[in-house]
Amino acid sequence: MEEYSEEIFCCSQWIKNGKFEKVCIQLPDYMLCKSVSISSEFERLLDRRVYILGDTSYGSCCVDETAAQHIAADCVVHFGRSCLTPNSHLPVYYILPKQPLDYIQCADLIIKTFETEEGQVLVLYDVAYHHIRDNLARSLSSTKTIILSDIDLNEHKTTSCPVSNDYEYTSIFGRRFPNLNYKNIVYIVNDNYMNNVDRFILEKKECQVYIYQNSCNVLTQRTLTSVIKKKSFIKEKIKDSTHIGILICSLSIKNLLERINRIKCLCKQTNKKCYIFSVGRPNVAKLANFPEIEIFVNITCTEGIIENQKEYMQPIVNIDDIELALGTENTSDVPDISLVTNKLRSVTMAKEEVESSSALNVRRDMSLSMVTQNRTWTGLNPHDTRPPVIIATEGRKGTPSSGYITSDSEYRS
Amino acid sequence: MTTNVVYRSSTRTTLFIQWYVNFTVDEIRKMMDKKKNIRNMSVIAHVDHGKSTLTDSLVSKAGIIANAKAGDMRFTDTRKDEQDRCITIKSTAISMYFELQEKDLVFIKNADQRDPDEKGFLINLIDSPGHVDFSSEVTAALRVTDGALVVVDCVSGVCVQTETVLRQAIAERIKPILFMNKMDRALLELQLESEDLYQTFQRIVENVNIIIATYSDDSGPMGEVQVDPSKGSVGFGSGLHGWAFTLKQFAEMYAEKFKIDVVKLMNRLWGENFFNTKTKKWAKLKDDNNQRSFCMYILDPIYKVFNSIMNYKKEEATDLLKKLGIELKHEDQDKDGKALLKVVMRTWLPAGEALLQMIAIHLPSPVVAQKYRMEMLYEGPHDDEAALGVKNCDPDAPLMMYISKMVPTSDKGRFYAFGRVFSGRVATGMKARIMGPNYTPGKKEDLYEKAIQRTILMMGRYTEAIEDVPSGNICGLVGVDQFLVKTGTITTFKDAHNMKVMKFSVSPVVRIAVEPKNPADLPKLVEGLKRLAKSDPMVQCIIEESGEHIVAGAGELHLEICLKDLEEDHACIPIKKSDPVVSYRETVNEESEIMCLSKSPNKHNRLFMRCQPFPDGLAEDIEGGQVNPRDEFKARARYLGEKYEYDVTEARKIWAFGPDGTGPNLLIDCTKGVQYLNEIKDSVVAGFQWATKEGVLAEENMRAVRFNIYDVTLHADAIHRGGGQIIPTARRCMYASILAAHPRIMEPVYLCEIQCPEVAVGGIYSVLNRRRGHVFEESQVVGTPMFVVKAYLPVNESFGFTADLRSNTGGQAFPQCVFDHWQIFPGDPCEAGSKPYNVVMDTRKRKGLKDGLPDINSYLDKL
Repeated sequence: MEEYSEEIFCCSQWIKNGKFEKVCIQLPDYMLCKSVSISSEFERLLDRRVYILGDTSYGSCCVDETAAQHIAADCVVHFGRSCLTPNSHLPVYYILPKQPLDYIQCADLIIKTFETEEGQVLVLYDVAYHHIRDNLARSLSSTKTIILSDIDLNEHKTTSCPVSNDYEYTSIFGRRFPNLNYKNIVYIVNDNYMNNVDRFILEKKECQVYIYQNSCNVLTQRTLTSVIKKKSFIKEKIKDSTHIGILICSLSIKNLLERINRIKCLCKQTNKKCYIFSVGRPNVAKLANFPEIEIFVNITCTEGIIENQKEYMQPIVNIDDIELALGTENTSDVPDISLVTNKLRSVTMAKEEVESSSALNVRRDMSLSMVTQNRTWTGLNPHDTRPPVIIATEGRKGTPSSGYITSDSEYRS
Repeated sequence: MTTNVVYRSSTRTTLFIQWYVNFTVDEIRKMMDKKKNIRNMSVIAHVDHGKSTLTDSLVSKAGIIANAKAGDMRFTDTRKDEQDRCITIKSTAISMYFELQEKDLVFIKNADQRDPDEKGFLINLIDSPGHVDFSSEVTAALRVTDGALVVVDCVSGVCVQTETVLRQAIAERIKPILFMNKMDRALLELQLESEDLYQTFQRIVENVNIIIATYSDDSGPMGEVQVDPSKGSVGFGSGLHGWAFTLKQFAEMYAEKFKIDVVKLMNRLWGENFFNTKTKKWAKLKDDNNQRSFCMYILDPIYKVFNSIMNYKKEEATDLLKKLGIELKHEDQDKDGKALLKVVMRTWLPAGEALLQMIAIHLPSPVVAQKYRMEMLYEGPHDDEAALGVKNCDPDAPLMMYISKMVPTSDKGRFYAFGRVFSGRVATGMKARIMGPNYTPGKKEDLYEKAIQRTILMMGRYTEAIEDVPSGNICGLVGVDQFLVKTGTITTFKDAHNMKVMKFSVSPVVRIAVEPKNPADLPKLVEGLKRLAKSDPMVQCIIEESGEHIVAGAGELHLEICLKDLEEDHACIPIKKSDPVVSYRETVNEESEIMCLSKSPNKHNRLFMRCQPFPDGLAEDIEGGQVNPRDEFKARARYLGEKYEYDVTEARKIWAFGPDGTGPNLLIDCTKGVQYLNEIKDSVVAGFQWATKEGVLAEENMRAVRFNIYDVTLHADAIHRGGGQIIPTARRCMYASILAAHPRIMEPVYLCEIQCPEVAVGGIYSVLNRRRGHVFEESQVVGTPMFVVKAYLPVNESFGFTADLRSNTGGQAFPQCVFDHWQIFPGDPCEAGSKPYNVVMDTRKRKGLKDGLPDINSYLDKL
């Protein structure tokens, strides 16, 4: 508790300044045990009740705005690891986790490694090391070519470092740094949270990316050749598919609807059918309910990558993959050969031929039922084909040895 | 990959064509209407048995080619690498025109075999490659032709590829005729006695007929299929020297002398017919005073000519020539030795004449052939308009055309669609339905309606525009290539079904990963791969889940040619190639030791399964289509019961074939009285398709595994037993049952035939032993010093085999390898350090899967 007392105090000032009435505290699962002490601290400082958001609908790295809206909260205080994805509505105060880092040792290694190298080096760090950013910056300040990024917390400044105005700043994936031509990137990772690193690698393909692991004090280069290669397979697979599922894995992303609309629009252009799925936190069983969907597009924050992908029936891809595969699709009427199946990809499929008649026509292939038509089990049959129910009539009576009497004949047979 | 494959090419010379028939397109078009006088034929043979050379001698006799366009080239080997390597890679079509004389016309008895007022014949010939790696080209050629000239080198006899292509021909209902080639070698090199030579011929005829009889009999719809020298359906000669004959030629020479009818005499000139010159009596048995008629009347004169000329007995030769009525041209009179021999033989027994007669008389016209081929060609009902059009070869019926392959044009990335019109007529500008192999009537998938930009005649590498082409002919189309991958059906009939897809005798079992040297060229590579996929009937260009671009082909040579084409013609960028690898299959060795139980994620549903290996032959039966998902289930169950001793009641409850709904694995319902079972069938089948597509060991396809569902307990509420609960569970349960059934890896195996002299046999054995190969047959080619060794060789061990074999046998052994079967890779893949274990680990690594083998306990649940 004590480790956060300073932040909690700053935060309460921020709440007071912002005149926020209802305050939500969002805690990751592992911090729920501390919820009482944290909330009572807030209540002591603010002198009013605060709400605790426990069970988050999606990842705990995202601000759970939907839950906060249930109580019409005015702001959210987010504890724990954050993906720093820009959210849409509420003001958020991030209280980031703190992990120890031997910043002097780390800075030395970085400086030594890039001493002889030309070109700019960008140093990124895990959110858990934000608390020692100023120390790290000071240790690195001896070298001009090494630039330390900042964390982009929109709502409040957390760094005391002077931000020089010599550069233009860019901000991606929650990191802010001068817009320069970097040759090398060093990412100081905490444990094995690599998702964000990989995003940077894919984004900054021209840079060499090194990761610094606190535990062993070494810089190792990280390449994603295999990931990039896999993307070309994914691209083909997306082009092949006709039914795409849009999987909502986070609701608190800025421009959520625009993104969904963009995918819908791309699907429409390329004659693919898309369906929106909101299943909460996805798991194998949930998605396997839709075996007819060929690709799921995961709409999520930067760190919300689905683990054990191999267990899923369908590939789960990102918005970027869809954009890459469908954004440049040619719209000519010449079909393309798929490199997955070596078959032609149909192009005329959706150009529905509307016959010029004024008669009413049944328009087919609209619903999911069109997709499921290959199933042999289609549910209980509404048109019961069993023989109709009739009133019971008297049957035969008797025994095998004495013979039977039927209703319409009196004699024994 | 070994690139320095060298081919024996002593017999291959560049032929200089100096002789042309001038034919206008209009004249050809006129011939096309006389469908009874058309012969569509392929030339098929083992590699290096002299197809292309023989074809050239035919073309030089009767080829239709525009004067200015002909070059000094082999007609049918149109590619530069074909000419450099002296090996045919792509099949090529050539049209020929030939007139039969009145006396020969009487040999054509069937009224559908010729137009009563027409002496001329239009012969469309397709020369196809002999190397096994290009067998798919042969398949494509056979589809569009009705007859096949089977060429056999009489020194080497019937070889593996002869058998393969002949078998295919018979299966496609293509009528064969036989030609014994390279008689010059038998006479000059082997110096065979005439009786020995007769025996050699007799043996080859017998071997060919045995193969034919295995796959067809004379009482079948094709009528007589067997070849018979006494009927004139077997030719003899030398393509290289340009001479050939059938018994008909000799019978005609002697007919007057003996005052016997030609047909009767032909019967006497073959087989156990002996003639006593003193008593002038025929006998059926050999005795001291008589002589075999074939040797006496046919071989003797030929031997005499050879002897006199090759031994430089000028006078004797001149005498002989006079007797035979051969007149030499002035400029040839000074020649001697081999050169003179060639001229003499060519003048005496011109190859073109004999062969063309044989073709016109014995091969069926489209009218005759399509009658019995329709049911093999058409997928739809046999009495619809399209079927009747094909059956009657009716030019006024709706169009039915089969596209058998794509031929690259000079316009990069575009192709001529090459095929045969079976019904109706195809014309420039006409609108037609283009149906790919995945088209199903009534649906829109794989169907396009487009105008045919141009109809063209294809002759070697030349094309000539033609207004329209009627049924029974072969032609090319411009403008439909973009709507087909490799093959397809073109029709004008709205309710037409597809023409059957071709079945290849080879499989793409060798794979090479390619990537551009410059990563920025990736889009070009992808585009190039798509073009390559089109240009070859069998090559597969795919991207794997790992992102590797794979080119898969029949063998090293096939891939070498494909990659060269990819680099130079299709992608036009420098390419990095991996070493060749093979694809593997996963299977099991025994029945699962335990009953495997898996529970659904919600723990409310349980599946109980076991799996077991197929009995021998069933996987092949499924792949061959003898057992398939569309069979009537009772008949299929009976078949499985009779042939494989499957319990018939169980065999009736086959739920699915997999992977992809057709593969060689079965899912069988062995439960008794389970409630709601039909509700989860789709889900279990989906799990089965998934599990058989990505096996548990290394995510390779499964093969020859039968999965039995023994019991199922389900949650009473439908909502708790949906696909989400059942599909992953079914997969897990199958994985568990595989791991409990001694899983094994299967590898592809080549049937490898090697011809060599006796001294080299030892070398072959040592090379094969090193490569896990085993010899199962070794025999001497009777009448020659050559040996034939037949062996099974794992494809994985075959890389560099040709070169290795050559260096170990002093260049005397030359292998032909063709994919034969899948075989269990010896060893347990679950035992660390074993060979199959390494295969699994390598594959997993390549695919980026988790290290180490999956643990059965992660798939198995406790009751």
